[in-house]
Amino acid sequence: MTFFMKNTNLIKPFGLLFLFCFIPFWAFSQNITVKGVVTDVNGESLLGVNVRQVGTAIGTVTDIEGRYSLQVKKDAKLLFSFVGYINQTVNVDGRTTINVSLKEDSKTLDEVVVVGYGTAKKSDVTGSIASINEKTLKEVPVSNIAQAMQGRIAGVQIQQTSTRPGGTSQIRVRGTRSLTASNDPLIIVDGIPFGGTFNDIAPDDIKSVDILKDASATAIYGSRGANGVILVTTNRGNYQKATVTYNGYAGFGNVAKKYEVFNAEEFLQMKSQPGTTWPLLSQEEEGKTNGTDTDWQDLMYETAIINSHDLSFKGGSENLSGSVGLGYYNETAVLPGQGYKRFSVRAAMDYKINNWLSFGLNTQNAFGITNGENANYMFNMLANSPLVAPYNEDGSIVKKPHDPREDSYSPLLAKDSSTWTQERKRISSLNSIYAEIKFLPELKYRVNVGLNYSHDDYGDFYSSESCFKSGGLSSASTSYTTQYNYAVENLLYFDKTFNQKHHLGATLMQSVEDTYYQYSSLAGSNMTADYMQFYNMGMAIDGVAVDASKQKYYRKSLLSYMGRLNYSYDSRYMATVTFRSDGSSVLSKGHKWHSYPAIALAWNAKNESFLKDNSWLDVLKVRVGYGQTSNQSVNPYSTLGSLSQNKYNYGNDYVYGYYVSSLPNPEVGWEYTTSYNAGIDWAVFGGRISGNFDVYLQKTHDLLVDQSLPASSGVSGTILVNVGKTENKGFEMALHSQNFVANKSGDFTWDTDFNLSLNRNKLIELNSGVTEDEGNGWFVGHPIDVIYDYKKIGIWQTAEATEAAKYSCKPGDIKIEDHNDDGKIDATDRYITGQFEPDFEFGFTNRFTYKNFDMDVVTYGQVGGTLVSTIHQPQAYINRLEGRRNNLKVDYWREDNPTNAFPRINSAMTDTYYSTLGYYSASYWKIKTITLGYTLPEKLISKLKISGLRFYVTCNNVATLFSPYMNNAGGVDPQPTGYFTTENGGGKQESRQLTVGMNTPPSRQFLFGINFKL
Amino acid sequence: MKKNKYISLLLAATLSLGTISCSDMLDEEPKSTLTPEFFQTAQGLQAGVISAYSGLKWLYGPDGALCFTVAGTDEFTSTNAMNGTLGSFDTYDNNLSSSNGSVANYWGNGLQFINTCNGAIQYGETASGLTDAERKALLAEAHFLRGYYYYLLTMYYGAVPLDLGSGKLKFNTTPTTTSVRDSRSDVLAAVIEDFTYAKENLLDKPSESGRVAKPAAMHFLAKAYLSRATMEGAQSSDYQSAYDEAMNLINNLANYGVSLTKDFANVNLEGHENDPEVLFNVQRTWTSSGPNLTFDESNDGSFAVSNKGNRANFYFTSGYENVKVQVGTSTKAVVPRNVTYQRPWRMIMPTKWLIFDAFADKVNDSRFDGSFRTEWLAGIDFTVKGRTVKTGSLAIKLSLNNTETTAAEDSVASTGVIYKPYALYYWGMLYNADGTYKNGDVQYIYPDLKKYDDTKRSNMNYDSNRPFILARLGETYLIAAEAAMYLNKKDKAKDLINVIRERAAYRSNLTDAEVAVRKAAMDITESNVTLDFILDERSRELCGESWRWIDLVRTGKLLERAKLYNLKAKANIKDFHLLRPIPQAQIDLLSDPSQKASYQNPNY
Repeated sequence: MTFFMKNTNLIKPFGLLFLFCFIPFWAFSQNITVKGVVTDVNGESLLGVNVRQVGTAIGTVTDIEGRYSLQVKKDAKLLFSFVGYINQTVNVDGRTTINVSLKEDSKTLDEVVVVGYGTAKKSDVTGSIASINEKTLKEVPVSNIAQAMQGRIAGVQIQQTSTRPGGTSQIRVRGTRSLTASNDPLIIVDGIPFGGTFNDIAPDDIKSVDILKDASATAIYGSRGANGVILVTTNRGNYQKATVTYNGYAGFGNVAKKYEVFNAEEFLQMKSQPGTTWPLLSQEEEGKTNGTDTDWQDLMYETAIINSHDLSFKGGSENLSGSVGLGYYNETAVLPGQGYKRFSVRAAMDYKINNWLSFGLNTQNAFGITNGENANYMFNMLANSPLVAPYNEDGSIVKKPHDPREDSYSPLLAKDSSTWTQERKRISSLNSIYAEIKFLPELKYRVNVGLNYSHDDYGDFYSSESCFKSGGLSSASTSYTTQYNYAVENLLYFDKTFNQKHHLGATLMQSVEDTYYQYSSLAGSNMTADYMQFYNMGMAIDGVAVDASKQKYYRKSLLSYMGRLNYSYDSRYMATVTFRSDGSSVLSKGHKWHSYPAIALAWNAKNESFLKDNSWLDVLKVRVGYGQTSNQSVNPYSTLGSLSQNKYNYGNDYVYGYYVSSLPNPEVGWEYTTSYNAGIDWAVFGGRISGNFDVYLQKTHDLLVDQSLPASSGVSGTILVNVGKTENKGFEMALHSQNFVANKSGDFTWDTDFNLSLNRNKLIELNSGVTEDEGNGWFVGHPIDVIYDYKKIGIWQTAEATEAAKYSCKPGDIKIEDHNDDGKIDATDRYITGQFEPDFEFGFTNRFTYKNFDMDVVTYGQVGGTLVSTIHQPQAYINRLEGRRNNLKVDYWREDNPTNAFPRINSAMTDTYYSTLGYYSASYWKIKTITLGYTLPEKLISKLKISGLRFYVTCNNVATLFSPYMNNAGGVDPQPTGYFTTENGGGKQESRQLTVGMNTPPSRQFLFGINFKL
Repeated sequence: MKKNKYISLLLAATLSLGTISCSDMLDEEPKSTLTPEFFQTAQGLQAGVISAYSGLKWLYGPDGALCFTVAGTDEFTSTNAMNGTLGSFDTYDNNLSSSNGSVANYWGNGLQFINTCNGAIQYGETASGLTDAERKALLAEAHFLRGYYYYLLTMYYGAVPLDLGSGKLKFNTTPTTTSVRDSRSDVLAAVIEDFTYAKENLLDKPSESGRVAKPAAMHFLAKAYLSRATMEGAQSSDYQSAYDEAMNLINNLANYGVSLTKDFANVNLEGHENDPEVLFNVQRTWTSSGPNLTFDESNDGSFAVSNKGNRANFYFTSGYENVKVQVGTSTKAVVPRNVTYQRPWRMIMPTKWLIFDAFADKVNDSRFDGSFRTEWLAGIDFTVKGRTVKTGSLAIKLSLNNTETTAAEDSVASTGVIYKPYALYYWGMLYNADGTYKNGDVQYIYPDLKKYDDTKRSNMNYDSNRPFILARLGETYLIAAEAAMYLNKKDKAKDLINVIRERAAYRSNLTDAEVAVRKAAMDITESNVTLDFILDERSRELCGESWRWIDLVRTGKLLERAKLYNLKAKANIKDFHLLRPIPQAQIDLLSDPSQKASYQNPNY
């Protein structure tokens, strides 16, 4: 197809993004002289912008005032390109003055990326590094950037670990590789290793996030690089005129979808089923007579309020740049007692003393308060009978709406904040200082000193009258965690080009890092006065427990040496060689040191003579890399053996006992990951479409595994051993397309970001010869996290009664696949029926502008994989289908309802097969955020004597599409609500796995915001 | 030049910062945890002995432990509420397997604290900082506890390893994945040696409640001899030794400050756990004003600690709360769940044999009434068939003599329960004529074993905080009598048994004359003295007190009596059930395939 284009610069964006055609058209005509000024969007002139007539070699660059002048044909097209800005093409159309304002875009291929211990031009990078800039992060206004990063980067899987305000996220870079050690990536903030959570940094303070994905890039972090490295760069000042920026939004949120439970009529129907032996309670009988139909959720849910305000000052002079910022964030939840609040203060300064010496510092301080982080009354709410009236006639709360045997109080009591509290106050301070000396133009020395501190104060209190204690003794507990660390890094940089073609860069580093940790906790029972909450544990009438296993201290140290060499020839061939040596305190003597090599090569094909003049190809670079890294997650002192405490009393003489619970282990080393990566970076049509592809293979060996000893060794605990292998391989793709670009300010534009990634995880080997470790849910030849269980194939139907009886089942019971066809269902019929890992994940973001309006739509999703819905499993007690409590509204079997979905109501149910009711396809496509913004026109802005003002409205958590879990099983959201813990009920999943449980339902938020710049 | 000077100064300063980094930074010094070296100090050794005492909490009180010791015998059987792995200890079905968690509890905790005692014994000889008296006490207690744990293990599992990795009866400090089981006769020899050492070195009277003293060592030494006498490795002198050890205690009660409690009803009553009759118990923190939950390690309130709670008070309690009446439009429990009658888990119920045969005489013998509850008082006001029952008056009565009957119109047809005006259950509702158990609601009501009642808990659903009695003088008499019987001293045996029976005749509400008549009626003659009679007598005296399974195994009577009297056990119990299975994890974790193959007890 051919499109004739005159005044508009259109491309065909429909259909698949990478399949559009683009053939320019131009005619011959006379030469004219075109002049103009190139500025950025703020009106600052740009020096050195490349102005070129498309399709020719004619071109120039702008001068210090941004001016250019060029002789071109009347109907020529001009391409304006500049590092860090979006290319712009303009039709001359006979005009002689063309002023252009270029939009900043750190996505362009020549942006500078942070590579660890320095930066590099993206075109010179040899490893696999993904970057995400401030603007992209801000498209999703949330309390921490991990949430904003979800679905935005190929190969980086981010999942929430709680649906409550202040919850954190689990981040996995290219899958999981470790069985018992941590799979969390290393986080570096402004060059300094960071031990906190992303809640410690206000999203507004973050300038960019760079993620090192392959070992050729992460090997410079050696013993901590195996799980990927996230480099966070925070905002600093500028060496220019002062600016004041205010970014703020406020809004509200409501429950996006309620849990579906039976209403009164449906509840009565369940109760009338032949299988139940639970008659109506007296209060239910009353409710039945009175026509009571209580929706406990409606009574409990509230509107969440969200507030975020961020003010920053930036400015400086020729030698000094500084910035100061203040932030406030406050979010309440849809359930009482939960919320998250943060105050943050930051400052950064850079000072160039003279042409060879400079220094600077950066400090980030946050004070966060999390309320109700895990106290859970969801069961109390959902399992409550709809036939029971929530309030007495006088308006007071019915205290005991439940079965008297359970003796528990109404969840409505949770609304009275004086009956309970759960609060975590965290103060964190991240500080980094550097000094830099330039000995020679090509030789530079830098020292970085990092000083980090964080302190958590936790307290909880549940009064006797709360729904958590239901008349039992009140209880309170407090704990604190203090963590501080320092890091000193000495760095030497060398950078020189020889004979114009040989470019050599070298980095040498030596560092020390020391981390201290302290934790202490107290628990008291029967507090003297409720109003004291947890503030005086000495007044616990029944005493205070200071559990020896809950008092902790450790110190761990890391010594490192690192060297990196970058060489490039003629900007065509590039090589990076890295070597790092780490010594760690946590390993056994004699196993403390290890060295990590890595090498990466890149070929910039576009710079070859045969492609140099190609008009549509802008970038073509091929990368390959190899490297070794490891995982440092061995707990301090775990090689020394330890004792555990128990307690005893000789009459009233209370004493502590100790016994050996783990033996010394002289031979623990780290687990190693060797990784291979190959990738292509490309851009075509003047950068209008760009992207990259990567494939990788990672092999992890000497896995750290806690090995139990037989009880006959006299020691119950485990020892850490290095056994086993895992493997991850995968494919990643990122695309950026400018579907519509503006000819002139105000034209319609449309940009698209698309990423897709898939990972295949596999357990290659366990301890010698073991192929199945059922206790931990590990199976050789399968991914680390799988579903190993019976397979439900339906429900036994009336016509199948005879067949069912063979398996001791009745019509209405769960029909389990007789996997081994031996005519009976027993433990040997369990097999791997699903896995947590999806087939692939994707992110899809579209941005539009027209005149002064802008809009972006952020979406992401996954295809394949199994989610575990623990609410459908028996341990959550709201889908037991026994007719005792209220139940999830599921399609259960009756003689007149021969469904294959859920079994009959049955008081004598056995738990064995009910876990099979909790497995669903994890596919979904979530429209996370839609934002509509309006920027005040320049005329008005300049009249107001400000630099910018934008208003916007955002909807968060807009919709979830194509989720079989939500559509078929009444699920609330396919995203996990937390780790599978014993709280959810000791079923068939492992505590490390993220599952969908009974937690605060996600809310849909509407936010109204302002971006103001003075 | 000046510039270079600054540079070098700065460089020197920063590099020196970096080079504080000498390698000793990589040495670890824990501060909040203890390492095994602690066991070489006096403090460590004493802490080790304490932990070995505390370890017994796992074996007496928690869910699985209760099934392990008394279910599946002639005395107690399971209700329909106790099923799966717990119920298998009663039914001997396939769930009584190597993967049964309760099997692992006894095995794992036993060996864990045996190793702890090994450490105390090994380092106790030489550790500095102990006075002679402390050292003597420490070693004696460690020997006693090691003997005790090994006795339990060998009685339940047969052969068990004496070498845990660092040599026989040595403290193991090396990670090891091999193990060899030593024969029961070797283990019992070691047990007898440990108890003998303890007997010779312990104090006559305990220095504190709960600490073990000489009488306990004598009691268990006698029991160990008596056990070996009927098992592999028997020595011809074993009966005599058992008799001598037990009589040594019985003849010197005053020396040891030990005596029989006058009223049997008080023997197991709360608050009496440290009475002079009690020789050894697992301490808990019961006091009349409530427990110390911090040290009790039970699962109460916010002090959720592992599985060490004492739930004996739940296990034997019937489902009294299931007796309901219509009040207005709804049904209500006439005796709602409450702290006096315990949490009604109705897991273990007495067999028909225990109630009607062992306790055939419930009048002269006060022990049935001293052990069981058959009447429950109303917790609400209610009206049935026009008759009103007030809170606090009799609401449920279980009639065991079947003589109390009433007119048909008083019964509620659907349940068969008779209201007069209290709910009357009679024994025929519990059992069919052939002795099998009836299903359905009526099974909710059966005689509650009240030996473990704990009324001082702050919540009716909390575990018990009462100490758990493991040995008392009453049993010592029966051990002595059993040894005398084997030695053919039936007159001695008769005398010893009569001491216990006469005590049982006493009731506090009787006059001395009435008691004297009943004592005479309780006395037996030499001709009564048989092994079966002694086992019956043990049931009357000790039912539910955690030794029945072992007693039946060591006397060779488990199969016979379980088949006769425990109808759930009858169908499945086989010879191989005389040993518990070795936990699967133990076998799975062994690295030597030949050890793996031969480690399990037969047929598991």
